[in-house]
Amino acid sequence: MQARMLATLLRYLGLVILAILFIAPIMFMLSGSFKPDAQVLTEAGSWQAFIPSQLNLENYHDVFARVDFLRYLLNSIFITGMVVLLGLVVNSLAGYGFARLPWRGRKLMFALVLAILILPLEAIAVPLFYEVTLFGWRNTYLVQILPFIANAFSIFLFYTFFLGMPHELEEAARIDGAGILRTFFSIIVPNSKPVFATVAILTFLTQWGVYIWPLMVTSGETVRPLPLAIATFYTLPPLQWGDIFAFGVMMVLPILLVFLFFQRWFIRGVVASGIKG
Amino acid sequence: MASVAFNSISKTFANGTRALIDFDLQVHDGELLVLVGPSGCGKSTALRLLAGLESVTDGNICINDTDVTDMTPQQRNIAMVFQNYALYPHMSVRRNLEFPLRMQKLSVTERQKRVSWAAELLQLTDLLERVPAQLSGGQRQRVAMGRAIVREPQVFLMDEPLSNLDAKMRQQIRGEIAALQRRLIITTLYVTHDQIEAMTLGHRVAVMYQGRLQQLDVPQQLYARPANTFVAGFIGSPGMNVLPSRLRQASTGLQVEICGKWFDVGKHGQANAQSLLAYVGQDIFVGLRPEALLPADPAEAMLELKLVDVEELGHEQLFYLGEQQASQTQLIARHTYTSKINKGGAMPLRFDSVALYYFNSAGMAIYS
Repeated sequence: MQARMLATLLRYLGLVILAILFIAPIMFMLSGSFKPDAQVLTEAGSWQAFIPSQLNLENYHDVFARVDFLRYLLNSIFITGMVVLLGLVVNSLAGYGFARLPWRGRKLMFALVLAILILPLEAIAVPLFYEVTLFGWRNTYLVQILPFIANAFSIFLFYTFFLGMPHELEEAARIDGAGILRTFFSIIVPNSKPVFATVAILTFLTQWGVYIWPLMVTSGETVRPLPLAIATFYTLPPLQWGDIFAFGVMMVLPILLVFLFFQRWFIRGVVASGIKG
Repeated sequence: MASVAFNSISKTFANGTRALIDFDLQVHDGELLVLVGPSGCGKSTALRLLAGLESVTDGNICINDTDVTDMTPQQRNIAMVFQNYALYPHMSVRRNLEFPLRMQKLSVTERQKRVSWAAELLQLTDLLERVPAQLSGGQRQRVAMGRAIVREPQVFLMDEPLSNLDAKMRQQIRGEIAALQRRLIITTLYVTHDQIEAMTLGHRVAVMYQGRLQQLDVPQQLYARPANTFVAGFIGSPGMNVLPSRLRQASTGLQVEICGKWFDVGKHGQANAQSLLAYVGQDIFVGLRPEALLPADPAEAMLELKLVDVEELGHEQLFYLGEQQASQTQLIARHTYTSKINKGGAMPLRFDSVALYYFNSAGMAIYS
C-alpha cells in the first residue's frame, strides 16, 4: 500500500518537473515582455526572470512602432491558412487514393512519396528558387503557398488512417449510389476528424515558423510572414530583448488558439495513427 | 422486381484463393433464396459479386436478363444489408435512410414520403433524429433494412444480417424479415451460415461448400433428400451420421454393414434394391439421421454401442456413441429418452432400415 503511494508520489513529482521544464521558457518570454530591457538582462540569471513583476506594455508598443506587425500577422495567417486548408484537401485525397483505390502503379507511386519524406526543403531550395523565378512568382503569396500544399508526411498520415477504416461504410455508400468522390466527402471525411485535426495542427506548426523560403523569394513587408519580421529585431539595431519577447508572445498566441481548438481530435488522431510528437 | 442469374461464375482472388468454381444459380422473381454453408464456402463472395463489390473472374451475372457483370454497384439498383449494418455513424437515422434517395436525386417531398413510409413500416418513427450510436442492435438492424428498402431496389441482398444479435432478438428479427419480404415481394438473396435461418426463411436454399453449389432445393427436400454426404451432414442439428460401409448379397437378400454388423436392407431405405445391387462389394457410405437412431429395450436391440458422452439440451439429449474398442464418437443419437446408462456403458439401439440413406464412394446420394 505504502509502496504504491510512494510510486504515485514519484510519478507526480516527475510530471511536475516536466511541466515546469516545458512552461518555464514560455513564462520567461511572457514575463520578460512586460519588463523594461535593462530589467530583463539583470534578472536573466535569477528566478525573478520567470515572474511578471509588472505590467508594462511599452515593449508591445515598441513592436507596433518598429514594424507593421498587423501586416505581417495577416500575411502569416493567410499563407498558413491556405497551406493548411488546401493541404487538407489535396493530401487527404492523395492518402485515400493510395490507401483505398485500386490503380496501376499505386505501390510505386507510394514508394516515391515516402522517399520524398527524407528530402529536406534545403536540398531542393535552389532549383525551386530558379523555377519560381522563371515563372515570375517571386514576391507573391502564391510562391509561399503552392510548394507546401502537397506534403509527403501528411499523405502518409492520411494513408495510415484510411487504411485502418472499415470497408463496409464505403461499400454501403457505393451500393447506395454514391461515386468515389461523393463517398469520400460525404462518408469518409466526416468520420476522419482525428486525422484531419492532426494534419491541420502539424501543418500549421511547421508553416507558421518557416523562415528560409520566404527569405529567399520575397523582399519587403507586403507579402512577408512573421518570422522574417522578428528576425529584423535581431539583425537591425537596437537589440531590445523586451521587444523580442513581446513579439514572441504575440506570435505564439495563434498557435495556442489553434491547438486548443483542435486538441480533442488531435489527441485521438495521435493515438489512432500511432505517431508520436 | 427482378430475376437474378449467375452463369458459370468463377472467382479467383489475387492471392490465388478460388472462392467460386463454375457457380450457376437462378433466383426467381420475388423469391427469397438463402445461400448457406460453412465459412469460406464462397457464399459471401457470390453476394459481393452480385453487388458489384468484387469483380468476376469468369462467367457473367444477369439481373432481369441484363448483363450487369461490368456495371458499377450504383448502376445495378440493388440494396444490401451488411453484417455489421454499416450505418453512417455521423448521420441521424433520418439522414441514413435519406442517403440513397439523395444519391438518386429525388425531390425533397418524395424523399420525405419514402422515409416516413419506411420508418413506419419498421417502427423507426420515434428514432428518426437519433444517431446510430444511440440505438440498440435490433434498432440498428432495422435502420439498415430501412435504408435498403427506401430506394425500392430490384434486388435485396443480406449478408448474415442477424449474426450480431442475441438469440432472442435474432428470432424476432427473423420473423420481421420474412414478413417484410412477403409484403414487399422483393427478390432477395440472403447469406447465412446458420441452417435454422436458412430453413425457416428460404423459399429455396442453396447449400455451398468449397466454392461449389452442392444442392439447391426447398428446405424440406434438403432434409429429406440430401444430394450428397456434405449436405446430409450439414443440414439437421446435428447432421446425419455418415459411416463408411459395404453391401453384400446374402441368402436373405441384400445386406448392409453398420458398425461391424450386417443388417438386411429390407425395404431398402431411400434407394431401391435395383439401384443398390450395382454397388455390391464396393465401398459406399451409409447415412442415418440422429433422430432415427432410437434407444431400445435390450431384448429388441439391433445394435449395442458404447456411450461415449451425453449432452443435455433440456427437452432432449444427444448421445455420442462408438464401438466398444473405439475411443471416438462414430454415431450420434438424439432423443427425449433419459438414459440411465453411465458413460462408458453399452447402450442398446434400434433403427428402421427405411431411414437409411446410401451414398456412393464419391459421396453422391443413391436414390431410386
